[in-house]
Amino acid sequence: MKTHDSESGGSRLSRIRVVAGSTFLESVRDRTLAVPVLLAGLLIGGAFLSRTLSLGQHGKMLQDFGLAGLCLFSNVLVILAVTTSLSRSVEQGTLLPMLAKPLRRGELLLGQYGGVLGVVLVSALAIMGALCLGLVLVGTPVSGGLLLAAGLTMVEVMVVGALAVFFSAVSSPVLATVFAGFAMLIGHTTADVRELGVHIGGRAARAIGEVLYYALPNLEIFDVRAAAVHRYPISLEYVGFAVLYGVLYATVVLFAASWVFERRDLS
Amino acid sequence: MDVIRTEALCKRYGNLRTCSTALRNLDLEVAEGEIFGYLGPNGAGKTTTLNLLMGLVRPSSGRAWLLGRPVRDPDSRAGVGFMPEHPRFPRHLKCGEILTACGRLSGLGRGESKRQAGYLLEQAGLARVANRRVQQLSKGMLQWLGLAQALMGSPRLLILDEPMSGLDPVGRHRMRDLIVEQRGRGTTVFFSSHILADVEMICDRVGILLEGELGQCGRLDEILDRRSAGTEIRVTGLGGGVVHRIREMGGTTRIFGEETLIEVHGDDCVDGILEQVREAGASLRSLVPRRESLEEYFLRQVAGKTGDDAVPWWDNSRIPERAGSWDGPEESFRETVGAGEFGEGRR
Repeated sequence: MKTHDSESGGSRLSRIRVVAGSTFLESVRDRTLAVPVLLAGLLIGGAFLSRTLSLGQHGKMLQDFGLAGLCLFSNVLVILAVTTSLSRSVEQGTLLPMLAKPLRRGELLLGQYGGVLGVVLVSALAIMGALCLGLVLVGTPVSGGLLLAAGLTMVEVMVVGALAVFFSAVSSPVLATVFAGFAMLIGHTTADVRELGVHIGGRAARAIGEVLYYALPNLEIFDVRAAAVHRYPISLEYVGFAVLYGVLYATVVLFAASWVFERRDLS
Repeated sequence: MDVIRTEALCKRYGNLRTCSTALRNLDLEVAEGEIFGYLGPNGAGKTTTLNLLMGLVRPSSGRAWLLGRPVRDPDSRAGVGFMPEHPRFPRHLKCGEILTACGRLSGLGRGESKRQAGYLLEQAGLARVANRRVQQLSKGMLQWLGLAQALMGSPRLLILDEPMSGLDPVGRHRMRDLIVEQRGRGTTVFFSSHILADVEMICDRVGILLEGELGQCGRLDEILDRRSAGTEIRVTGLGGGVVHRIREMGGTTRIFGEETLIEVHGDDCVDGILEQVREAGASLRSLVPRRESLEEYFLRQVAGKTGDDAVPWWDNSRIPERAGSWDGPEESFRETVGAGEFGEGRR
């Protein structure tokens, strides 16, 4: 038999791709995608029902429900898929054969993260496909704003997924799910947390509110759903800023997760 | 070159209050091309050592190198195949997919990875389940899949944690053959095992780990006392009077139908006993000098370390007689099985 191509065990990118591919296959075969297919079916059904129930606003109603469903479902899916694939594999020891290869733990985390994002992306495309089909059926044109709102939702999912990776790297599957769920909920209320600090009064409370405001992810930035549904203009500068914020936040969180995971005993 | 080297390697678990030492100052060197058997009772620190070498756990102190590279460097694992004890894999992946992925992670190209996966599935007897998901495999099949993934990329060093556990006698035989075959290809094999007969059969050198400390380490013929430990003589047609005289000379006798088994410690009285047998007109069936086995040596080492005979924990005679004299679970356990069994090496 031939020996390996290189002593370093292939390129970093190819190793990440291998882990991502395995994670994607494992998640898909775990019937994770059954839920979005069901949700997509419900959306198409809802498109017909809304004709008689929405007093002529069926297009808006369908977009509203569709985008909210996409956001909620994708966030829940990314949390569950990450904690299932990462925390459980740490707990059950299925990572050991992979980690015994010349694979850095950070690469493993990135691969798993990429694989899960792939699953979420496929299911999001299924939902968006169903939503667009529903809109066409009720005679509402698909706007660019709708697609931008869906794209920003995916950036939000990226941030929530990175947080789930971080919590999975430091705790058990159940705790990681709970922590990531909380982070997702709090992420939509960071402005309120800052306000609360001001409302309580005192330097300490204000400082804590301020620190939390900047440390916690501001997921509201990614919410342009209302603007998309009501066809208000969404500036590309805003979208660019939100994407940059999301990518930077996710990168920092993944670096932190990798740093912690490198130092963790796995056996 | 030493393919494995450790210097004062230590691993402690727990915090300051509950600290337990799993491995103490391990200095070990394994040379290229040898089969090294790493032995020790449960909780001695064998798996901890292997996990330290593979970078799965971080040492509390000390250093280790694989193929000349420090183990904290992931590249030290290039050219190393590792099979954990009870290997586990993602449940929904197929055997072929797992091997191909492991090959890619070892640095093989896609085509070569698939080719090696096919060859190793064949070698491991898993070709017919190549497209079956892991969740449908038996324990023995998982063990073979674990070995196959370790062999992906034709490693120069194989580290196997209890490779024979969970295998039937035929599987054990195949595993032994495979390990010897790997040495024939120039691969160094380092494995832990409880099955001493297998270790004795195939290992060039052994190391015995007791309560986290490496006791004896060396070639089997160096560490085993190869002088005759006794002699077994089998004869037929021996009368009662002669049996009595043989016992007086220091031999022990056991009768199995027509045959009498005489066991003699040392060589001194063998000639005298044979003379008695000849004079009695009995027939000599066999005469076998008995040498110390690895198992006997291992048990002697364990007993020496724990300060106790190798008495099983279920020995009723060692249960304290007075009811109500138990001082708590740990104390009573110490009293029952000996303090040595409760060493720091246990986790």
